[in-house]
Amino acid sequence: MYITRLKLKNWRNFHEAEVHLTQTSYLIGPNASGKSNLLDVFRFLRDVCKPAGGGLQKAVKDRGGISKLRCLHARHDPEVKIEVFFNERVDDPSTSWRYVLGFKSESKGTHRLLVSCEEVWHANACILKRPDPDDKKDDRLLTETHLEQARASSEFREIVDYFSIITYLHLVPQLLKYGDKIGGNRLEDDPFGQGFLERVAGCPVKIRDARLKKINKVLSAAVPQFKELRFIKDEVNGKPHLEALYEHHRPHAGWQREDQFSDGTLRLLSILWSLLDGNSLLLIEEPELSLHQAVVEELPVLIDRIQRTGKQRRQIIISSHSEDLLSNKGIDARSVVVLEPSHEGTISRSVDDAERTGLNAGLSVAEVVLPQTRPKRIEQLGQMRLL
Amino acid sequence: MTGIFVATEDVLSEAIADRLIKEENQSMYVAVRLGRKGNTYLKKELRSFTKIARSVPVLLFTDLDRIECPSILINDWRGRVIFPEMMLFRVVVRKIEAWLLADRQGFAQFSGVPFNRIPQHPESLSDPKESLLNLVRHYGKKAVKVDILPERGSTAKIGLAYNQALCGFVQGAWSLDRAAQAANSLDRARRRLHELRLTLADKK
Repeated sequence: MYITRLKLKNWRNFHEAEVHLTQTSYLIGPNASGKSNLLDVFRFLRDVCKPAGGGLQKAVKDRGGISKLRCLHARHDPEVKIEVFFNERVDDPSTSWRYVLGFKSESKGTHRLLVSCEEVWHANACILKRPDPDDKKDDRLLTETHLEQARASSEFREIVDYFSIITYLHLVPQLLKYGDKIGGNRLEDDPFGQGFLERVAGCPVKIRDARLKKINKVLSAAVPQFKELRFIKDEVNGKPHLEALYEHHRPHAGWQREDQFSDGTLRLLSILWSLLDGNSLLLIEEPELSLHQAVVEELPVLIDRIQRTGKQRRQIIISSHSEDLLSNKGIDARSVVVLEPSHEGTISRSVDDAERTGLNAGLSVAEVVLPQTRPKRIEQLGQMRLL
Repeated sequence: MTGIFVATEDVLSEAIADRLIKEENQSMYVAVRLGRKGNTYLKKELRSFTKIARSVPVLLFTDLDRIECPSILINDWRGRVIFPEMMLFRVVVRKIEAWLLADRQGFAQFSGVPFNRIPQHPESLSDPKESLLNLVRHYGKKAVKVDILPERGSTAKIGLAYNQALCGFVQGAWSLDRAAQAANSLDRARRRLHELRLTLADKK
């Protein structure tokens, strides 16, 4: 199953938006245009589905409450609404499932957060439509979605399963390297990769070894002098570690632990691991960070290769600013989602006709589309005299 | 050892330049790689390249594309600038893919396209890249198709791994000797590189 379309109303900086997604989608836009906010929709739906400690109330609360979540441009209509369209295959035009969730806070009393609408459609049949008569009788039922309740969601379990295993990745190397010194605070689901090593440790030995072998190959091509990667557990405290061997002028320099790895090595490692880990929708935030241009250029191919090795090609959404990543002329224009800030919230669009003409002439997305995401008055940044 | 600057339009042309220099071998190596940003960049920086070529050899490849003949392109680019001896400005007729197809045997082996389907005179093709893609589309091995061709319905003209796959071919099975026999512009580029090396050796 693939998410092919997403409609948003009043979600963070999107007043109204419609996004078309493909097998691999590239989100591009200037800073603060809402790339991460768009990815957050999927994390939000996952949080609602969570069997332990999930649910709508928690997911909204974790994001600072509805007032923080709702778009500032929502003046008359305070409802936040998310509509997700699923297709069985990316190139299959008919929608197999559609899930709609709307919520807002009550206008009176304690301002409870209530579901304003929840719908599930399978093919063209309506499976769920709320508020239903029960909700009208007892409006406390509206504090929960059916998505988060196993019994109520039994008829659309596929959707719940899809949402609940969505993976988000934005490994911050410093958090992993200096985890012990910074202190152990960790967000749920570990979006920033502090628990990356535990995740590797939790993987069955055979699978782990197979994955590390593949990662080893990539790293030896991408990281000069890199020779070998291995996983070990500390003999004293049992903590998991990754170690690497480099070809040195000093042959007995020994194995280096992950806290000695370069930021780029760690980022590439974690990207590769998550690409190999699972079949769910994968959200990757700026994979180009800390990586050399030449490595970034190879990422689209690398991702595609790994996608093809799975039984079912998984769906991936990548947010990026990188010219090198988008310079590959094999990138399908339909897989690019452009975010443009405007006075009425961020607008999401596909590659337009003019840009397509440029792509047809043989230019790359990096040459034609990416420059359009430049902030309109960026030159002023350099003209300022601040001191 | 003579370090040489290589200025090309794309990765694939660069791979060919690498092969040429490697085969010329004796005391030549690539010192700096420039370009990979299309021909507008090469054209814009031509003055800098000529400046460099006063002291260090520069090997520049640019595609002829739809321009009638190389001399028109050269005159248009050069204007009044005089190329120093060490500036090897070589025009690829008409696209770098023609040079790949020129090794019919190697390309057949690599792609699975039957030998006699590959044109004998790739330099006469009006769009060699298109021809290469069509050959692979019709007769190619699956693995090569996956790399080189865009996915069904995609707006892209080439596959994500187009450059990677063809560079692999250039670095491996592609034979410069065979290709030079079928592509005159390649043969001349190779001869000029050879002559340059001899002149430089004489001067030393």
